[in-house]
Amino acid sequence: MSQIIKPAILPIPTQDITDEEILVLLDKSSTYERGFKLLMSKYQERLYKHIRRMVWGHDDTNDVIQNTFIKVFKGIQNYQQQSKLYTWLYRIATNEAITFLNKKQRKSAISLDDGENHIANQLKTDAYFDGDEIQIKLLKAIDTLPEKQRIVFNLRYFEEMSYNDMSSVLETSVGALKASYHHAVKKVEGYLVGSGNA
Amino acid sequence: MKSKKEIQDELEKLSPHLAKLKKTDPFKVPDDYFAQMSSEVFEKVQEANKVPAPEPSLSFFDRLAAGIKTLFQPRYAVGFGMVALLLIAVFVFNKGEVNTDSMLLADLQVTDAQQYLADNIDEFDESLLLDLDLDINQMDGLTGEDLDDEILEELFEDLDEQLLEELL
Repeated sequence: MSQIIKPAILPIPTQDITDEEILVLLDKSSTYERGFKLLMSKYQERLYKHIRRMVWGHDDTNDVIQNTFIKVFKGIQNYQQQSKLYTWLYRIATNEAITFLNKKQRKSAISLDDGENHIANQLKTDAYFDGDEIQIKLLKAIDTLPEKQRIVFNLRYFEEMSYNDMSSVLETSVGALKASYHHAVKKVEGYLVGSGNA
Repeated sequence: MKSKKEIQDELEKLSPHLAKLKKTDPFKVPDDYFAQMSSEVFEKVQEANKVPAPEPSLSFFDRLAAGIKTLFQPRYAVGFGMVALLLIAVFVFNKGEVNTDSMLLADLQVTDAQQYLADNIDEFDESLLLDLDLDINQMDGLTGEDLDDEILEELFEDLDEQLLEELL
């Protein structure tokens, strides 16, 4: 009986591997799976948090992030290296989350007030939410923002993304993004101060 | 680091209240969630990219057998069954009608035919009757009104003297 010996794959620390190295691995069928798993390991947590801040629930986030990665690996051959890999990933994730939210909104038409209470209740009963009252109020304040301002606020405030990268993700000028963030911060602050918190 | 500081400075200028808040992540995930996700997604991607295997090349007889087998699939078999039943029905009914006519003519007695002619003599063209090699007995039942002189002359020409004597 001959024994099949698989070649040992030396683990590479995810943080040390560059996007270019991942793309080289994805380009060859023999190293495709390794490249795939390295790309996921490097970006899945960041993308998960970005999507979660848009759709709130873990189950919904799980659906959206899986669809995101399926689209990423289907379209990786068409990826143009004019933009950074991570901004391309964020763009796909953002679009997937927006598509999901639009579908969800069509299914259940909720008024603004009902929506706020609905989010608060959803977060309080979510087994995978560990925030306090102040954090719930902050999320409710963010939820009052228009969609584009909300995304800009999240990317800048939580993920500390540069305006240049954000411009690549959202395909919007840096000036417009700065103005959008300025307005968003003022609205969130107004909501928190007005409700007697922060 | 420089970028983080810039972002924090910007926030302090825009909103001192927000800048004071701690940026802790309140969202949690199930245990081993990220460890399992890559395998789960990889399976889905493999499934989505799966190309159907090309069909193996078949010999003439294999293709013929496959074609025959196809004909016995329920949707085709029902159709062919209906057509076959229709053809059998048409054949049987047509055959029945032909047999009936042939049988009736074959079984018809000469006397019956003569009687039929006599009863329905009006239906027959006179010239047709003359063309036929009629037995004189066929003339039973005919009246003088039914035959004009010309016809009678023709009839008499065909009769021999012996027969005329018998008739008289």
